[in-house]
Amino acid sequence: MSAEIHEVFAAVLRSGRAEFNHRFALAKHQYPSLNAADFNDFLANTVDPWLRAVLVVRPECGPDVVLAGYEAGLSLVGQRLVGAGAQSPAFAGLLQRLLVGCAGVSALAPQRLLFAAGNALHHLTQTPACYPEFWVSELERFAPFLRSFEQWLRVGQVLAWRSGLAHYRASALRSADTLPPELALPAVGAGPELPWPEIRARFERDPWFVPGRPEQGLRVVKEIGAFRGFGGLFAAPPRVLRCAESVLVASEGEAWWLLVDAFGATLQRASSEELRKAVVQKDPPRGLAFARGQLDWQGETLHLPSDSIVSSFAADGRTLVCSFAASHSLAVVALPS
Amino acid sequence: MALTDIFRKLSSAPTIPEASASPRDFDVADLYRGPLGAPGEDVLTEPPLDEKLRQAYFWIVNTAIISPHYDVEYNDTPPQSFVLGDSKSRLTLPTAQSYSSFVLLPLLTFAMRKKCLFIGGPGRGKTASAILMGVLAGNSVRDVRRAMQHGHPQMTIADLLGNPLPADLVTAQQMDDIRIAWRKWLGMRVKIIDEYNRIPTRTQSALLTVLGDNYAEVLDHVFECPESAWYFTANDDQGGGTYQVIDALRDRIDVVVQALAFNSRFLGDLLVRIEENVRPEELVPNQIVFTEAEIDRMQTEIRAVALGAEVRRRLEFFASQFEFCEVAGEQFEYKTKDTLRLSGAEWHTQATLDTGRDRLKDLGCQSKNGLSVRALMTLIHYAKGIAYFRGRHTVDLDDLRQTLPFVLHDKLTPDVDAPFFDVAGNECLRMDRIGWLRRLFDASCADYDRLDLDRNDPVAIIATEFRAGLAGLSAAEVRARLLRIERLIGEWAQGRKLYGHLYDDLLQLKYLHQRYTNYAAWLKAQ
Repeated sequence: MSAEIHEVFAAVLRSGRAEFNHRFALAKHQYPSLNAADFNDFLANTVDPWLRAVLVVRPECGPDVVLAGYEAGLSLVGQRLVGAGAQSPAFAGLLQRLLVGCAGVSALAPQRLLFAAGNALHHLTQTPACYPEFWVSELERFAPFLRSFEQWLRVGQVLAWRSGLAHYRASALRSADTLPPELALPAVGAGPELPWPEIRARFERDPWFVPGRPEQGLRVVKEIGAFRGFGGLFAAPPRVLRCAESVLVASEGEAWWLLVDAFGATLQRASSEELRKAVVQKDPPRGLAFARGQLDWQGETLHLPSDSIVSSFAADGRTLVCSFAASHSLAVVALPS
Repeated sequence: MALTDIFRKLSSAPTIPEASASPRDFDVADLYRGPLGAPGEDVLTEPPLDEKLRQAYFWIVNTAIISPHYDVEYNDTPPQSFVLGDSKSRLTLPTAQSYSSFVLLPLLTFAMRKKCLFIGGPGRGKTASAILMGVLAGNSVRDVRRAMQHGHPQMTIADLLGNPLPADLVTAQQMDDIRIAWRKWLGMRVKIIDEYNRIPTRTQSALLTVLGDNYAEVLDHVFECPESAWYFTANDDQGGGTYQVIDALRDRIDVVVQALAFNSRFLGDLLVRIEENVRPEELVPNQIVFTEAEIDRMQTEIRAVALGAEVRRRLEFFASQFEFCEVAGEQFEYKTKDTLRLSGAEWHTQATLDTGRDRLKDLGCQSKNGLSVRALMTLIHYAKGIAYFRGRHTVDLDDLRQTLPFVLHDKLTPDVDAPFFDVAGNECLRMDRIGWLRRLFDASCADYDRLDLDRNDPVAIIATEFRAGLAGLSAAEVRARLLRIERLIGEWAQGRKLYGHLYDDLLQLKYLHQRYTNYAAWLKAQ
């Protein structure tokens, strides 16, 4: 252990040396790859700065922070979420930034906040095309205004949606409903000009609505998916299906829900039962026509990212998703209202 | 603040990825669930109870009880299997989430507040498992241990239920004046009777009242027990205890699970427990402790799991195989094994009387009795329970197949002298009752398929017609239906041998014929 750790940290470790060693030994049985050097590094570079920041605002919470950090560290290092060979090299740095940035609110529930932050960062760093840095920066910005740990959780949920976890859109909006408007509005990126119910209604109507941004025209918003051999999900060019009001993507007997909006696009595994219920959309909405490599929407032409034939599509009034006969990518097109 | 123990780590939810109820119901609360688990309490939302039950299961098998046996096998694609050894033993590698019966069945018993018997040699974790169930109900380990009843040959009714207060016995003028010091275990929601086959017969009868009717009685005083899950243990379930267990008590036990042998490859895990002085039952995470209200809710949710007609019909077909005994009676309704049993006649001489049936193919010949209503109800309960545990809203055939052997373990008695057990390869089924019952159910389903009863079941058509109601039916239509029943029975009488399932069908046809006859008579009187 580095000699430079805070004296409170050193005192807590000293006072429970036998118990801490016992925990480490138990964790080593559970996670055989638990590395002592990585663990020490986590304590010194993540827990210690967090502890120092907490001691400034709530000195009495120091021991709780140490205990929470020690326990979480065993799990994080044991599962190789931090340390040498970590799944995401950015994870440890982001976690440290977040804990220091949210020191005040973290002192209210150190262990719960650390675990929640670790799990959330894991989701954000493991989901393609997400922005964990945005999530951390925004939470840092909000931290001084949060009055409780529950508020931190709710704001974190809304920000996670805006960081790219599009499948949480509806649920995150419900979370925002529970926040006071002075937190809910900035959490969704809106100013105080319009009341929360009005902003919320806009989000419900329009998946491409971004507060403060003027409406954009017909455009390819995203390309999503790739060949499994290149690290993507699809073993063969996928097909797009409809199931209830959602879009399902199928490839080689596997299926995923495709959730897209202005903040992100994610593919979430669907069951074989759900795949069986899905149907091919045969008729495009009125005003939409496909030609090779392009589409026409109400007299406007848009070039598609692939020149091959559109093999399937799913469209509602605001969004079109199409697959191509010779591509493992899907194109997501925003249709102007 | 105490450190959360590594031994308290729960499996991440969802434990069954495909069990989500609604495709679009992505809950942002999942953001805070992940590899770190959740310390102390869950953040913002509690998981559904079926998920909590699965987490309890996985905590027990991963941390508490070393039971690396996956004998409750599920497959979603054809599994690989290997034949090993001279005796051609088959080892199957299941392709879907499979379970250890030794943990799963007691846990379902806990969720449905039923009665479970652990059998197996000493030191195999029977009592430890029962104690864990008590802790899952929110009791401290100390309370569970103290409330556990240990069967012994001197156990009296007073030992079991409670004593009258000595002072009251001296001063009381009437029975109502005598107060009873009831034993604490009677009020527990998880009741554990260790080595129940060492309890004297008279005390067993008192236990039966508590077990069956949920109250205890001493000197005209009654103690109403709360609804509870029961766990019994026995080293030997085949009469090797100090006292023979009375039949009524055995019959009320819903499910029997065997503690399988310890796998020596897991000795390292035992070593950790010794070196680190860990007692898993003292480390049950709070997140998997169930409140009384949660167990109530779980029971309601389990009952709401649907059991469709296709699965029900196969269960009906299976159950119909066993009660019929052609030589037991003269009148059709009395041709049952129960008639034979009640008469006291020697089973062996009657069972082997030739009735022209193929005794090898007739599944009914493999058992000495039929299935009771209680056994069938228990079977349905457990099939629903396991479907619920798997996150399903309906029972599928595999759910029934997997629970059936444990429910019928002590309910369906094999006739080990039946020709089936003499067939090469079947000899071991005389000893392996779980294997025998599973084979029996598979054979019944194969028969069901061979008879094509899913598509061609004339009795089901006639019964469905009847269930639509008699109101407004004309006399001509009733006559036509009666004729159809008579014609069907006539067809079956043409040289067909009588088997159990036909016997039940014929009795149902007789019932329907009688109902139509009565209705026709009523119509005539109008």
